[in-house]
Amino acid sequence: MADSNINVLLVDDDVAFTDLVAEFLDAEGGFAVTRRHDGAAGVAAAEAVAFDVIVLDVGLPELNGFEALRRIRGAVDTPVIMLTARGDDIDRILGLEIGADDYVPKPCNLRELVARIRAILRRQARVDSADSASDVLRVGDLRLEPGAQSALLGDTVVALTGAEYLVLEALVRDAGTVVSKDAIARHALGRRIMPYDRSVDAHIANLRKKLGPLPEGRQRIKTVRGRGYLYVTTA
Amino acid sequence: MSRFFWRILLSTWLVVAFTTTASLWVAALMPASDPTVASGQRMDRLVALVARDLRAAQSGPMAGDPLGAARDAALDLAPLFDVFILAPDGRDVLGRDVSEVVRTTLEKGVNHRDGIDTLVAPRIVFEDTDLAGYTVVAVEPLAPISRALARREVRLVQLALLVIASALAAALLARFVVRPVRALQQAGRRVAAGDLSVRVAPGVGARKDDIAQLAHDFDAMTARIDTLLSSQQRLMRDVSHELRSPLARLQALISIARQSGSDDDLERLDRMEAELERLDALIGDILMFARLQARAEVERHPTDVVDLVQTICDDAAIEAQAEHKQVLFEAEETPVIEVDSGLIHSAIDNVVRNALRHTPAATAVRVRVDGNGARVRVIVEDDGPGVPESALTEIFEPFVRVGRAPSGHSPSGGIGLAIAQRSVRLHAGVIRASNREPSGLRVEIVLPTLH
Repeated sequence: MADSNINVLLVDDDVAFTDLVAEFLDAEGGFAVTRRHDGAAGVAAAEAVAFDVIVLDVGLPELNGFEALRRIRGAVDTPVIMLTARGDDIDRILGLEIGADDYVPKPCNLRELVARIRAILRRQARVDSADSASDVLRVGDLRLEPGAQSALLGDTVVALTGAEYLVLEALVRDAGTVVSKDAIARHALGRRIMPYDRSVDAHIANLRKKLGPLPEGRQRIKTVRGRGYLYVTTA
Repeated sequence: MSRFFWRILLSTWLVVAFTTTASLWVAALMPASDPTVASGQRMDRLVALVARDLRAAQSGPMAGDPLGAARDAALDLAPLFDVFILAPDGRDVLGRDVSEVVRTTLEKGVNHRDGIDTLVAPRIVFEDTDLAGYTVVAVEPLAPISRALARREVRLVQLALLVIASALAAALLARFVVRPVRALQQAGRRVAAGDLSVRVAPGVGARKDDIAQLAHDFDAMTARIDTLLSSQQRLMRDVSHELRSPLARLQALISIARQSGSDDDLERLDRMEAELERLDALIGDILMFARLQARAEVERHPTDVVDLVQTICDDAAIEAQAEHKQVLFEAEETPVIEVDSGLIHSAIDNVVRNALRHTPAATAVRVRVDGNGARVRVIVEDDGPGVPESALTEIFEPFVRVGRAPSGHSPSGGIGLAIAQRSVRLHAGVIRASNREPSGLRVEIVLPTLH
């Protein structure tokens, strides 16, 4: 396992499938894949080794994907991509709410999976290289510290997932102006928005829930029909 | 409390009160029966006897102590009747208290021989002819209960007790019947709303009557439905999992084949991938439809339908470009409504995709949103062949093929419109299709703003 390799933890109960994914990633080059076939083993592996990215199937036996994700999130900050079956919209949103960074429908084109992995890693690299002294962003009562990746409302820290923080950052950097979903996806997910892609909307919904309204009662994040989202600046 | 409860309470109460009053009234109207008449005649004779003795004692040759004889007679008869001998001043010669009833009767001068109401009024017989101012009175003693009842205030208390007791009994009865029925009713509603974990029997307690039996039967029925539905759901999940695993492997294999494939292969691999995606989408649709069938309620949250439809149109437009088709979107200001945005998204999305599938190349699908305070309306129009008038409702059935043009490799007769209809109906909305002139289909979705 060379250091330059991208270490991927793949948790899926379909052994044949994980073998095929490993074979594909091998041929792509630059990946080292660790395979686990149930939720508990996946969580144990995630806690034991520092992976670059974790790919987690939703429909795992014993400990399901969401529970596994919750436990992994309780221990480490490793980016997680969930594999979800198409038609499971509710499940998908749920996955994002617990703190998955992205989702890929399964069955999926493996090139797409690789693209998503690279996107997440690009994003992660940018976050990691962010200077801890980078400028603090301030809008009204909200303060974002890019170095620590933390959001504060007054003195209270708001617990955000990595993706949620970056979505908020994308909005707050240009507070008062409309930011397109595509721009948000590029900034927060490291990729372009796809057709039928609700991930940005799901992250926004979670942010609205976690941040609550502005002190004077207005919604913090406004939907601008057909164009994107806007973080409201107090006049 | 429900109207049902009050209805049972009032009707029972009325019946109890009515029967009690009626039976008392009938009892009072009944002519005195033979034994009592006989008792009245006996009193007559005895009073006459005592009067004769008194007369004899007052005036006869063997005149002794006139009162002594009468006193003896009075004492002799004591076990049967109270016999009073009243002096001219109205007092009993033996110094006993004479009741008010007796005095009133004497004043009226009418014998109460037949006892108008022997339950509450004593039978009184008297004689005062040729007795030098004395009066002989026989009073049939009342039973202790009757004696109490003869008093007016006691009768009022009795009436009040009757009213309260019958009301209480009626209320208990009503509760006894209504409570389990209400529990069954609520349980029925919850079951209808999709909660099959409801059980009623533990709530009816230790009853063993027909209502308890009904509760047990209800529970058995619910449990059976629960088992059937969950096994169906499990089957659906298993089927989906079982179908999707090989599909995922196939997809992975195609991806690997692509890594080393020649250009010839790539084209075929593209098509394989496309077919595979269709198969996957179809499995997803069937699963979604199955889940929708099992649902009776939706999770509503405020949704801007215009924004939702705009997103759908933007996404659809990207896909449509490949076939040289367009999606034109137009919207009026509409109110934000409370819907399950996921379901409404898939409903509208399915209708738009369906239109896109049938509209000829180089034409456009037109999507329009309008609304007012009461409803939000989404209209989707295409320039396709439309459907026969007779099939306008059939197209919302899953996998029904109607006379629309066979569309090459596009799956026709799918399940998309059935999903749309189910989703819209879950929101108490309406979805309908109509043909356009000269050709084309128009699908209209109307969602009420209030629910």
